[in-house]
Parts: sequence; C-alpha cells; structure tokens
Amino acid sequence: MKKWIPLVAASAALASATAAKADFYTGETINCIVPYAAGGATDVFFRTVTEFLPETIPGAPTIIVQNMAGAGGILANNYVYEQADNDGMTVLCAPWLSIAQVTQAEGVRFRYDEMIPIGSAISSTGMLIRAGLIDEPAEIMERRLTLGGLQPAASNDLRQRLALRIMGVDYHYVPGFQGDAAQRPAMQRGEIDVIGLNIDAYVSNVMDVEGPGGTGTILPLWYYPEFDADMNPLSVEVAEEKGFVRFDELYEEIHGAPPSSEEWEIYKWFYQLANAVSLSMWLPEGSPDEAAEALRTGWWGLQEHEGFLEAFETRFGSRPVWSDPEVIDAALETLAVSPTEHADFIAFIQQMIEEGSD
Amino acid sequence: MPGGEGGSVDAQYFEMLALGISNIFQWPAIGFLFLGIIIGLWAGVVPGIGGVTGLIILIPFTYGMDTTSAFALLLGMYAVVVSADTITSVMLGVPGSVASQATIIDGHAMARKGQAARALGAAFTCSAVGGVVGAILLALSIPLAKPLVLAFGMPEYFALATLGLIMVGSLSGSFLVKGIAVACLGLLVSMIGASSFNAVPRYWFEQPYLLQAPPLVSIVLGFFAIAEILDLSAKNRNISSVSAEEAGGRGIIDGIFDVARNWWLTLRSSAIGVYLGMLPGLGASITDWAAYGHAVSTEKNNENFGKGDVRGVIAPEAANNAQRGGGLIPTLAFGIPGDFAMAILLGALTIQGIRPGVDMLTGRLDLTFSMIGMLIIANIVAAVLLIMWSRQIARLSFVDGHIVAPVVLLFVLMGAWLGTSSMGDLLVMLVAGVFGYWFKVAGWPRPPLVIALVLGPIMENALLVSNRTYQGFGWMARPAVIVIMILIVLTLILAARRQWRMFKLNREMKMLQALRAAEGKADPEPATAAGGGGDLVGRSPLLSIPLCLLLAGIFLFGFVGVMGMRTVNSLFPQMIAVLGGAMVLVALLADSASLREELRRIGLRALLARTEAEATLLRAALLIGYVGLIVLGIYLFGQRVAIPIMLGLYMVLWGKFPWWSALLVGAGSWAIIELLYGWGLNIRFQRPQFSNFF
Repeated sequence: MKKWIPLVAASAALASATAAKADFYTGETINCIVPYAAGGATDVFFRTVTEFLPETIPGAPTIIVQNMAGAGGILANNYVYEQADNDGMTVLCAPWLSIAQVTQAEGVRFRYDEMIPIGSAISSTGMLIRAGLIDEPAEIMERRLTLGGLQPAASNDLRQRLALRIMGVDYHYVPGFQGDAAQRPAMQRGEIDVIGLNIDAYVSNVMDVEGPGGTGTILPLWYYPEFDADMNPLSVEVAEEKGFVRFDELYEEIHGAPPSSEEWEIYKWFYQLANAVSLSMWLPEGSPDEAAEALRTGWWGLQEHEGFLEAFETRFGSRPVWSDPEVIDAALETLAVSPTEHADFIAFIQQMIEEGSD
Repeated sequence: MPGGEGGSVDAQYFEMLALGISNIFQWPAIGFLFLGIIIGLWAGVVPGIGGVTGLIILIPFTYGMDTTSAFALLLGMYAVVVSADTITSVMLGVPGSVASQATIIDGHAMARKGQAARALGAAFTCSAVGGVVGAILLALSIPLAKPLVLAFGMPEYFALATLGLIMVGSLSGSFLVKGIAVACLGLLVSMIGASSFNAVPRYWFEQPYLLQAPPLVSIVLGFFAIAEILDLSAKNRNISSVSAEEAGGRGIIDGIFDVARNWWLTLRSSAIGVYLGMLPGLGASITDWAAYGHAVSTEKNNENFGKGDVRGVIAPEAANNAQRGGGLIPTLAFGIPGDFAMAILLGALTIQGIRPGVDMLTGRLDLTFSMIGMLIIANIVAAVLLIMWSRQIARLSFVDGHIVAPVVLLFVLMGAWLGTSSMGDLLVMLVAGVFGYWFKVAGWPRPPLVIALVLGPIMENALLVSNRTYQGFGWMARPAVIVIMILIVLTLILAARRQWRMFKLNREMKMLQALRAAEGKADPEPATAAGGGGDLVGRSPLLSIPLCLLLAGIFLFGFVGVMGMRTVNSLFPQMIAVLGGAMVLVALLADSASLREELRRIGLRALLARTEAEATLLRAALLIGYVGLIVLGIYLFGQRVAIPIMLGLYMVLWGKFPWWSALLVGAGSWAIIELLYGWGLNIRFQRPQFSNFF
C-alpha cells in the first residue's frame, strides 16, 4: 500500500494543479495584444493561434485579439511591459524585438528578460519586390530601390537594410508603415519597391490574396537562410518551393563569391539574436504562475491539435515550426547580460538605426 | 460586370448574385440576421458600446456557425448601429459614433425646436435608403473598387484628411477660424503619448497613463454628453425648448416625406458614402461630413443649415449607412481593414477559413453578394423597427430634464469605463466634460475636436511617410493631391462667403435692435441670425476670451513641448500648434472687438448678468463637482455602490423629486449595472479602494 502513497499524492497534486489552471481562466477573457495592424502577417498568425487556443488552455477562456499598431511594435511591447495589468488577462502576442532591446533604441522601455515567456514559433523571412521592376533577381544591382519599413529599430527592417548593404544595392529607406497590411497597397501603388516579410505571411497574405502563384503585383526576391551550429547557411525548403532564392546564393551569383564581409559577420550575429525566438507570447512580469502554466499548456497543446495544424497548413502553406523552450531561455539569458563582446556590432546597428531615424 | 469578358462571365455574375441572396434566406442564417439587428439597435442606443464592442461580444458566438449565419449575425448587428445611434445624436446632441457627428448639427437643433420625431423619421428613412442604395451601388461598382483604393496613396490620405478637417471646421460652427482652431486642438491632443513612428513619448508629464493614445470614447462622452447633462440640469430644462403642444403635429410621417422630397440629395449622399467608404482608415470618419458639406454647398435655400434643416439630417444619415457597404470592399478584396470594426470582421473571415482577396470578387462572389444582401435587409428592418419606436423616443424630448439626466449619466459613466476599465478614463471624461460645457456656452464648435482625434495619428503617419518617400514635400505635386487641395481652397472660400453673409445679416439685425432700443422698444436678448448661427463671435465674449487665452497657451505649450526632439516627432505637432495658435489669435481679435461693442452697447453689469444667465456658471460648477464626486465614489466604493447612491441623491437634491423616486432610480441603475455590464458584458468593475485608507 505504501508504494501507492506517492502515486496517489502525485495524482492529487496533478489533479489539484490542473483544477487550479482550469479555474484560473474559467469564464475569463484574455486580451492578446498584437503590435501591428489587422490583416498583416503577425495579426493573421495570432488570429489563427487564438482561434484554437481556447480549446487547449484549461478553463477555455475567450481570447480577443487587440491590435495596437505603432512604432514598429515598440508601442505594444512597452504597453504590456510597463502598463498592462499583470493579472494574466493581458498577453503580448508579437515578433520578438530583441535587437531593439539590445541596442537600447529610442523609445524602447520593455525588457523581455523581465517578462514571462509562454511559447514561440519560428518563421523564415524573405524580401519581396514589386513586379515589373526586374526580370531576374540579379538585376536589382542596376536599380535604386525604395524599401518600405516599419521602424528603424525593428528587427525586420534592420535585417532588410543589412542585406541590401551586404548585397551592395542602392536603396532608399521609408519607415512608418504600420505592418504589411499597409505596405502591400503602397507597393501596388508603386510608392515602395521592396519589403521584408516572413514566408508564412507571403503565402497567406500575398499569394492567396493575389491568386495562385501570385498573379501579379508582388513577387518573391530572396529569403534568408537558416544556419547550422558552425554558422554555415542552410536552405529552407518551403521558401524555395514558393519561388524565393537563397540570399547568399544570389550574392554568389552576382559577385562571384559567397558573402564574407564584416557586415555579413554582423548579419550572422544578428541572426543568432533575432531568430532564436520569433512570433511569441509573453505575460507581463508578476503575472500569476497559474496563468503562465495554463497558457503554456495551451500553447504546447497546439502542437498536437490536428484542427489547428490543418488550419495553419491551409492558411500558411506549411505546418508551424516551434521554438525549443531551452533556446528561448538561452536567448533570454543573452539579453539579460550586457553583451559587451559584441559592442562593435551593437554600435554598428545603433548607427544604422540612427541613420534610419532622421 | 467582373471581368466583363463575355456572356458567360455575366451569367456567372448573376448566378452568384442569386446564390448569394438565396443563402441569406436559409435557416438559421435569416434568424441570426434578425438577432444581429436587434443587438445592433441596442448597441447603437447605449452610449459607449457601438459597433466595435458589439462585434467583439458576438465574435465568440460565431465560432461554431456556418459562414452565412456567422456573417448574418455580425453584419446584421454592425449595419444598423449607425441607424440606432442617431437617437443620441438627435435627442442628446451626443454622437453615437464618429460617423454620426454631422447629424447633431441639424438633428439636435430640430429636437430643441420640438421636431425630434420629424428628425428621427427622416433619419431612419434615409438610413434605410442610404444603406440599400449604397449596397446596390457597391454591387454594381465592384470592378471600380481596386482602382479607387489604389489611387489613394499616403499623400492623398494626408490631403483628404485635411479636407475632412476643413469641412468639419467650416460646417460645425459659426466661425471658420474657431472650427479650424478646435480641429488643431484635437490634432494636438491626439499627439499625446508615445509617437506611432518611434514610440518617443510626447506631452506625457511623466504619467504612464498618458503614454497611450487618449481614450476617444471617454473624450466624446465627456465633451458632448456631460456638457449636455450640465445644460439640461443646470438650466432646469427639457431636451426640447418648446412644449409638446407648441411643437405641433410635425412628426415621423413628415420626416419620411422629407426624404421623399429630397430623394436626389439622398441618392447623392449615399454615393458619397459608399465611395468614400472604400478608402481604408478615412471613410467612417469623414463620409457624414463630406455628405453634409455637399448638401450645404449644393442645395438651394441653405441659410437654415445649422439651425434645424432636415436636409442636414438626411445627407449624413444616408451617407453613413451607405459607408458600411463601401468599407467592406478593402477588407474583403485586399485584406486591408479600413477601421477597427473591419479588422474584427477580417478576424471573423479568418475564423471561418476564408481568406480575403480577389477570390472574394470572383470565386466567392456569392458570399460577397450575401454580405451585401444582409446589409440591405438589415437596413430596411432596422428602419421599420426604429420608425415604429420613434414616437416613443421623441416623447423623451418633452420629459423633465432631471429625469433624463441621471439615466444618461449612468450610461455615460459606464460607457467611459468600458474602454480600458481605468479610473484615468473617467478623469479624462470629467475634464472633457468641463471643456465641452465651456465650449458650448462660449459658442465654440465641438465636432472638429473629435474627428481630429481620429485623424491625427493617420495624418501624422501619412505626412511622415510621404515626406520620406518623396524626400521632401514633392508629393504635393501629385495630380490627385492637387485636386484635393483645390477642393480645400474652394471649401474655405465657400465657408468664408457663407459666414460673411451671415455676419452682415447679423449686423443688420443688431442695428435694427439698436434702432428699436432708441425708440424705447428694447429687446433684452441680443439678436443673432438664429441661435448664434450667424454671429461670428458666438455667445458671450466674456466666456470666449478666456478660452482663447487658454487655447493659445495650449498651442504654445504644444510647440515648445516637442522642441529638441527629432523632426519626425516635432514636425506635425509644431505645424498644427502654429496653425492653431494663429487661428486662436484671430478669434481673440474678433472676440475682443465683440467685447468692446457689447460693453459700449449694454455695459459690463448687463453683460455679466447675461453671461451668467446663458451659462448658469454657478450651477454648472456645482454639477461638475457632483459628477466629480461620483467619480471619486467609484474610486473608493466601486460602480455598484457609488453610482446607484449618487444618482438617487440627484433625484432628490437636484430634481426635487420625492425619496421613493431616489430609491427607484438607485435600484434601477444598480440592476442595469449588474445585468447589462456585469452579467451581459462581463466587464471588470473598479476594485473599491476605501479599505486601503484604513
């Protein structure tokens, strides 16, 4: 009999914990703060996630997506970090703006290492170009391009600018768009030539909206490779299926050799910091443990929720890729300490932000 | 027809049309459509709820529904909110939403003249006609949608928003300069908080609450509703300034015939609504003003606009219902939601597994037609229901103001709380109430402030992006921008001409009055061309001059407060501070001239007496203090306790009603708070802080 006691106790504890988690959100409403305009990449991702999350979060709460666009996502991050009630009812649902935090960009007051991570999905990113500008990707070297961006300190903007610099393309940077829902029509009007977008969003917001194969106005240019442990570039199958060319391979095609400049080294450092986490959920500091537990249960429950996975695949053309929790913890530790060893890189990025702000 | 590539495409178009319409009448879709309409009427009437909150409440119920039923519920509700919120615009002078502001000008003026039923009859009828005509135009114009949406870039948005503000400024008051100054004030207030460009905070006084955008609902409720409650209570009056007997038989039928008589205006306004409605972001906020401005500038015998002309109700009400259809197009066809409500509808599409895009205009055209059909049915059913109730609603205008005031106050206090459930929002409402009353009694227009609050961030963003794209102000040479600029100049010229005529008329009336006074037939009231409408200065300069000085100070602070910041953070606020400051100075000169004239004519003592009689400042101050006490009571004891007690006390102390009426009002308001807000909307109430002091 004695040997059952721990089992019974464990079961009771588990039942009690489950009941506590279920009780916490029963009949409650969670506000999911999305930092970009409705209809954009991040918005569509989180609207898909929050459609199914009530089925996997104990207590089946109602979840409302609230768009708080502005300042390339910094507004919403600041809001959840310093103003939102930490009662478990407000969750930040956003791409992770680690570069903005590391560079202490103007207006940034949030700190991810002081918030509570729930979970993250990873998404490969690419660059799109307005149709009719070029016939072949290599022709971008012959044009001055206008890059439409969100905000000078936004990771996505910095990635695109860094890539254009590495490639040696002459470009003009126009920040201020409040998500790709605002960028796409500007591109169709010919106000901007290129934008950065993740591959999932390209499938859901561009290919599907414009018709199969992208009938016309916005086309894929290049995508950014993943890297192995030795920082060798890796292909992303889904991006190539959609017609994107790998950035470093295009570079080699144009310049006759793989990229090797100092800016390329900065890009790889940037990748390590910016890509560890991507579209992620965060609770403000001090939120109840029961809330974090229940939300994590819900987040990880999505990985096995067939209805969600099918809906995701239908909308985005592939199944989601999840961040490993250990990778998230490691990335947060990197953010928590002052990364002095990369002071030069940080200074370089700060200079880019400064140039983009004026 | 879509594609227009031959008979088969046309046949497919009509096949889709028939399929879409027939789907609406399938059960349970039709049932949900009617349920949505009923909920929409309720959401439109209760201040602070409106279409967006209604959609948020309904979305979770659509998860398990089939697509047509889900949109029947959502669109049924959303389409009719702008019909129902006319009630508060006409009866209380409080805009139910940004889209129904222009209705206040003539609608509320009609209610004050005892013609509420006529105004409501006209408004509900033309809302239905506007909704239906708009939907039909929309169905016919689907091929035009894409070129129209794509023709408007960031520079055009900035120019169009400027035109919208100029229109509102010139139409909503008696003095263009004051209208523009108030619009500048609204733009400056919208700059409070973190910049939408780089999150750098402006004008925040180190208060975290001020980092967020100012709460629009609280400001609208304070600026209009609190000011009207003060007016009703402080002056012991009803909504109508004439009795039911004096008002005579002008009623709902008259209103319906008014629409029939003005059918051409109704059609034109509907067209304005649907096509402007297609412009993401701007449509909802400027269509009613564009239609109102169009009516004022194109209709003959327009001297009564602003004083209760029914055409001033017909134009905006036809346009704002038609706009609902237009707003669907960018959302469905391009996945670009024009406003927050459309963003929620976009979410509903996603939930239903439908992706917005050209497919909605081709392969899923049946669903698009279903949605258009739902708008038509919802508008007609809502109009019939509202017309049936309008007689009862209109009777409210003859009810004792002391009975109306606590009921309105209850919904205003709870409406302001609905936004972010924050005490800060209630304080903002209180401050806005003080300013709203001051503006009202000083004869300053109020609508430009609200529309400027909505347009401010859009304009700043459009200006910055345009400047960056063109590396300067080269965007002003774009053809569409030039056309809009010409329209702005024309609007200014027309407004100046109209106001100059009114000014001359007013001077003649004053000279006549002086003549009568010299003959010993003195009129104790100063003459103006109908209710101050033709008096450039408005009411007492003794109230307006201090307001001018305060606004001048605010604009000065607005300029200085962003000095030293980056150009992206300072350019727009400083531009509007300079423009606003200049306008205020002109207004100050006009008010000073008026003051000198009044002093010469009647002397200081009589002017002071008249100012007190017009503004009832002491009673208004006491009432503001009373509303402030309710807000304090909410902080200390929560809504469930503070509001019923304080509203009960109002009945006895202000209304001089017996004690049982206090109990009735207290119990009724407690029940509404519990049932409607607690149980129905599941809001979080203020946690009582009283015990923290002990």
